[in-house]
Amino acid sequence: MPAAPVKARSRESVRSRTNRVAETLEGYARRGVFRGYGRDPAIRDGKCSFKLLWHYDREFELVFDARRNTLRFPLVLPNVPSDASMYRDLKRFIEERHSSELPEHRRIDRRKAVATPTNRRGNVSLTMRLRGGDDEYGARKLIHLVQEIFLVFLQDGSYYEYMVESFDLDPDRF
Amino acid sequence: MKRRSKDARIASSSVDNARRNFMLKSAAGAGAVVVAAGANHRVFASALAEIPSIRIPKEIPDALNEAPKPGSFEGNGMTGAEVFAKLCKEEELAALFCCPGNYTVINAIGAAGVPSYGGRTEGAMCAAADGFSRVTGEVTATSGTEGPGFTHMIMNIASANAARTPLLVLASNMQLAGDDREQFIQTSYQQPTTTGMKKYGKRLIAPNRVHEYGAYAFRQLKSGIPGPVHLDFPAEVARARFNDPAKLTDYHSKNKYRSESRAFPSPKEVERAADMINKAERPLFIAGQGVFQRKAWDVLKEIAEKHEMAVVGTGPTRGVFPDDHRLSASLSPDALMSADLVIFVGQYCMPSPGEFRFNPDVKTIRVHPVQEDLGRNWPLDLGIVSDELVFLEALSGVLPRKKRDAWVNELAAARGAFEKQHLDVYELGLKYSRDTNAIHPAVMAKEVHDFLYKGDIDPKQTLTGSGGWTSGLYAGRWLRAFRPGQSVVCAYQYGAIGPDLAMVIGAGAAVQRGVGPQAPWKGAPVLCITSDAGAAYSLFELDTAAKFKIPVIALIYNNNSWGMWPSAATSARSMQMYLFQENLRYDVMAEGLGARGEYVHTPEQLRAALKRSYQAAAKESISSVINVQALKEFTSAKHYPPGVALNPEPGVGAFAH
Repeated sequence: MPAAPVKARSRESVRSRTNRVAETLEGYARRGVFRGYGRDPAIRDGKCSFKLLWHYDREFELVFDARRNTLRFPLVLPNVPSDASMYRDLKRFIEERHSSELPEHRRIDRRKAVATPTNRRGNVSLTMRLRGGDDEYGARKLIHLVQEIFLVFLQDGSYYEYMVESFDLDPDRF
Repeated sequence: MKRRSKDARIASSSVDNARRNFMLKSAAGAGAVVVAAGANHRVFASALAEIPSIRIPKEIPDALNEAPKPGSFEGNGMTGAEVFAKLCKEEELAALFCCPGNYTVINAIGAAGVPSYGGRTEGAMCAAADGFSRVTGEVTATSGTEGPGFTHMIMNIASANAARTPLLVLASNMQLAGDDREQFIQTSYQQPTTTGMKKYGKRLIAPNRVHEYGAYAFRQLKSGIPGPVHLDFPAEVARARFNDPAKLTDYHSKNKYRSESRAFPSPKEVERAADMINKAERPLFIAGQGVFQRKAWDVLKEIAEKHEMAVVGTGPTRGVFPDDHRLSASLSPDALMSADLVIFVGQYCMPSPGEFRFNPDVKTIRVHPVQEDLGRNWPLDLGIVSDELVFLEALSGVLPRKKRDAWVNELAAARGAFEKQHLDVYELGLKYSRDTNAIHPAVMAKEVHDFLYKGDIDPKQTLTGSGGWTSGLYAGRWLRAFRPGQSVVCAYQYGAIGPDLAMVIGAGAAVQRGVGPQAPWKGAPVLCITSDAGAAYSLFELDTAAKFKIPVIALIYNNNSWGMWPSAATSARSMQMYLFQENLRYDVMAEGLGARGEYVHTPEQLRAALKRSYQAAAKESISSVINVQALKEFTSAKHYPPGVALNPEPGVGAFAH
């Protein structure tokens, strides 16, 4: 069988990588981690978008960019000024998730993936840069990281009032 | 910040002094008609002789000392109420907490020999019955009159329902002859009112079926997952007379109308669970309410130690696994995120993923006595229908001995980090307290912790309960449970503010009598941390505690507001709905109800007040209220970081599931 043209192989590779990420996310949806899950059927410029109904029943968008080797949540936390101590604490928290002092099962291995937050006008996004081609590892670690941001960082910090205000939560139901 | 007034009365140095001071102040006031005196009937200053003392009327001990006098089919026969009371006694109903109303039924239950407590409000008595049950696992009852008394219970019936308490809710309900006519007063339709907050309910309408429906009630209370059962008694049922048991339908003994048989797991399911546990690196038991209900704590500990598994106790009662055990994860929230397998056993109120601090890849086994709930909220890797005790005993037989050093070390490191985090907040709170001359909630909670667990008192001795928003969240972090039933999570799941003190008084009744797991601590004082907002719902039950000599120490965190006041901070014309008068004196109110009062606004005063109050409780069975003066701003992270934060779930301080 003749080899597929380079362009076709590349498209196939993007699709199969995207499917692998999708299978990982679908697995979490089946396990009840997400209460809702949807995938944009189209892949445009190597990018595929996923919708996750997750913490506090909010919809999270996750974009996998196979060409740039990134997984990105364009909005994880709203209303966090870039000069606020909360943002500094968040950056430190994310950095600490890569620490070699953490047990392996809790650590993001820098050889495989690196997570960084970005703040644009108070909206914090989170990007996982994938290294070494293990897309499933990157997807899992990114989901773990967001879980820890919501269940550990926000709950252990002084962010109760922030959560009520920013996520429009009823304090009695929260 | 405003400083406390210099002339605010500081804690008195003795029980007598506290009472005498209050009497002098009361007598000096125009129109003073009531003066506090000891439950020990001491005589005070002659100048006050004309003002009667608070005292327990002779009729109360006399009635408590009377021999039971259950109804009999002989002579005048048994009333429907007496038939029902006889069944309650045979079912070992542990206690009745009520206010007068439903007279025929409560009198019959008391006469049958069921320990019966009368209090000041039906709602608080319902909470007391719930509290008694939460710390013993026993069925308790509450009762009130048809309309107002019954509806006053509603918040606490709902709390009991959320906590899966086997609570028998009783109320009278007019006469069948007057149904739908609004004859005289109090007409209401009770059963629709408790829809959604009971396991089973029935309006009894056929007098000859009173025993049959009593059996229905106890079958529901003592089988499967517990929950409130609500029976309402029209007069025709309660007052009907029976000379011949043959006139009663299904007049069987309890071994005929219900069974003690329990769901048993199949050997294959147990093997599969054991295999999953054995393959896991960091397994974690969630020991829910069912472990307490089934008194399965010994085998739980045996399994945990044999296989080095972490354990967190959950539910409305704490202590099935000791907080100070090296395998306890109650104080190791960061390690929860590392668990790769969780085994829910008897978790009656299931959280959803994201509510418990677990990682997204954790695998799940759930063991539950009824099939219908398996898979609800939380997707399963393995679901097993089984009684909790039976499952744990079966698992114990197949799990190999195993060492998990890395997991144990991770638990210890997480515990160290958690404790340091709280100590840091305490240090900050101490600074705030010194700066403001008011007590920060972290300081209050830490002082109680040190007093109960680091001093001369056996750390296992004192039963505690806590509630309120700011006070409850901070207290939850510092109160401990080292033995089954040592702590009540008063706000469990339903989140009611206010039943705390009544609930702890009910629990105190169980300790006073040494019921079930409270037996080794019979007669010990109990302690409640509540809030000024919460106190309004239960404070009058100090009278009940005094009447029955149940020694409770109540700390009322007084921040002059509802804890949710920050919700009004950014809203115009709203704050008036959230604030109280400042510097209200709950200690003085307590004195007026026959308890001791202490007013504190420094850590040193609190320490001394705790000591005096504990002595009065232990030696004289006298209750105390410690008014812990605070500031509302301590709740807000904007004013005094960290403000309040929700506690990690599961673990100490958890109250949602």
